[in-house]
Amino acid sequence: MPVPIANKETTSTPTLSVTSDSMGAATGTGKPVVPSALKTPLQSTISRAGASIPTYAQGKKPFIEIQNISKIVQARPTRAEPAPKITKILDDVSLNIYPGEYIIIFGDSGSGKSMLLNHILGLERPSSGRIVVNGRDIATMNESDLAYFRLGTLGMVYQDTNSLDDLMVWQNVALPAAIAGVTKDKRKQLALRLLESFRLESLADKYPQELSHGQNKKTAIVRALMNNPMMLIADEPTAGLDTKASDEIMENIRFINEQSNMTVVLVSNNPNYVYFPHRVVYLTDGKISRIVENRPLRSVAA
Amino acid sequence: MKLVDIVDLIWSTWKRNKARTRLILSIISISLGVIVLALSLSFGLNDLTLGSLAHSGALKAVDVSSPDPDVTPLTQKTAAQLQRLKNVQSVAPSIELAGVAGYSKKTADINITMGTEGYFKDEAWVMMAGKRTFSSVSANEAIVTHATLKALGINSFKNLEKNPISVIFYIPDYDQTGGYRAAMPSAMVKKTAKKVKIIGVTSENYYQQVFVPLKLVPIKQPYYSIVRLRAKSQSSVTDIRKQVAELGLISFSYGDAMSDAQTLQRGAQVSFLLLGFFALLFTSMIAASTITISMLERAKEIATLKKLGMTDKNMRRLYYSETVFMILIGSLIGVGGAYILGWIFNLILWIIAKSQGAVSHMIFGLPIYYIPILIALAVIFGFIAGLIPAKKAARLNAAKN
Repeated sequence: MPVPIANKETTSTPTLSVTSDSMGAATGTGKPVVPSALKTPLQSTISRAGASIPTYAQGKKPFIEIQNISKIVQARPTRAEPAPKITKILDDVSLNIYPGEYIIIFGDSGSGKSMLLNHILGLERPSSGRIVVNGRDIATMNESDLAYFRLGTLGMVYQDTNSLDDLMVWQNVALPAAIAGVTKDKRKQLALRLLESFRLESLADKYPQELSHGQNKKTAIVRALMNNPMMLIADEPTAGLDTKASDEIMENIRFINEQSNMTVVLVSNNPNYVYFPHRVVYLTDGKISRIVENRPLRSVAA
Repeated sequence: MKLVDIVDLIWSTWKRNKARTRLILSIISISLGVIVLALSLSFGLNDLTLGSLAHSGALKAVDVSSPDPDVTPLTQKTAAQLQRLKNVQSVAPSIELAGVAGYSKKTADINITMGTEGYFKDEAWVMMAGKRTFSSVSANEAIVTHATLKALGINSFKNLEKNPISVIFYIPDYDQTGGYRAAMPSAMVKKTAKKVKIIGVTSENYYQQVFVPLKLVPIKQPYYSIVRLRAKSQSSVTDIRKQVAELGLISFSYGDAMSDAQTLQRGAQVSFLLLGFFALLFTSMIAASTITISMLERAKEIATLKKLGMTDKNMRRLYYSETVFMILIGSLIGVGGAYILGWIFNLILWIIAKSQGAVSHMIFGLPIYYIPILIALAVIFGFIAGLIPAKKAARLNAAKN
């Protein structure tokens, strides 16, 4: 659980206390600093059938196992196209995600990135294949189990911030805790502490409309951390942001992964950040075209 | 999610969408307010007409008249005979005469009813002003219909007692005829004039009628037009009427008329209640559709809540609660507001009546116990209406929003 600490010199990087050592590569300049060592991939693996296992995870149990999933959708017939149109959005995708890993799913628009995330979230059911989380097949979970799975296990940052316009920033941040049944005083306290650790406490009593897009994205990240999830999922979190704001967001996410060892799966089509994660999964037309391993997982490599 | 947090979420939504909230609340409160006003009016009018009869004891009265006064006139002897009937508590005769009333330079042909206090007590009068009892059986007092007042050019109820009217009584001279005669030659009619003060005005607007005490004008050998019997109890009215029929006389009971009128009135009230029921249903449907539209507008918000981990059950609770709270608040405003409005209207009528020296009546009179019933019904309908948006919200595909 990331808990706030005081005294951090940068304005853009959160201050999270963790059990591991350093503060990572945050510089406070707003621009990501990519260590030269990371610019050379450690290993590239192309996987078409069966999930690839990165070098650092040999013998480890994956947190999420995506096993040969495909998603086929059938468009409703129209006058223009009376024949039902069948589209394969995901095609035999297999991927293992390990605890503490930071993965970017990279691909163009329409490549199936968001659909893959929706499958991990349990919002979509695959046409074939299965997704196993912590040894349990998502397909066996009922609606209630899935809701609790999303509430307690996952923290989600959406492409558009998905803030509730009627609620103030602190209330939006505290929303997952409200759904979990945490009392108002307690969740307000938690939300304010979390906002403070991201240097966003001054925005607590504002409404989402009063915030810039970048500020809204940051508060969305804070909200995703509210229930202390095991995994952070971000769907194009830098979409619509300028370079500076994008860099800050990506720094924040990397910081969360490094400091709290939280598993991160991020969807992006911005090539500037492909050096940030442990692995980059390239998705083309619903298929994994290749997986690039950037650097080892610290805990595994240690 | 706790109910208090659901309420908190609903409150935040309402607060930030004031125009929409006000619009929905207005629709609900105005619809329910109209229902309450219509019901109040129905009950008020019922009390105004039939209620005054029922309270005056008219239900125990039986009016006895002769089928052919030339053959079997109603005399003092007949009255005594009627008094002896089983279950008869008292007997009150009345005499009908023709006459002329005069005030200032105006005159009006009138019907005069001379009766005892017991007779007039059971008259189904709705008083516009003054009182309905004479100070004595021979007092120079009269109760007149509103039609008589208008015919005499008296337009205000003020100072009636200070400005007496003259009444000419056409009294048949039965000594000349040797008995009762329905058709009386004018030569056999004696005129007797009296000055009387008006002590009360009834709401009758058509018949020019003047009511005076039985012994205001002495009549040597009275022939009664109606003898009013008072039964010991309402249940004995039927028995008394049988005994009257055995004497060869005819009878009329207010109870019968009341019963018919009450049946009609109840029918009208049931119609109003049914109308109210459908209006309530209609209101709930409007609320449900408005909230459903609002829900569809907030599809993204619902999707967010679901993505964050809100269960379908909680989603349903959220929308049930929103609909029910909306209808509860709307009905409290509408029902309470209409009830208060009815009383304000009654108060205004009372003030106007008092300023005119008239007797006021409550036009709007919904019994208080109808208020919680209506609100409870509205909430039940709200709960049913809430099923639609709640179900839609729970079924919404979060991945597509």
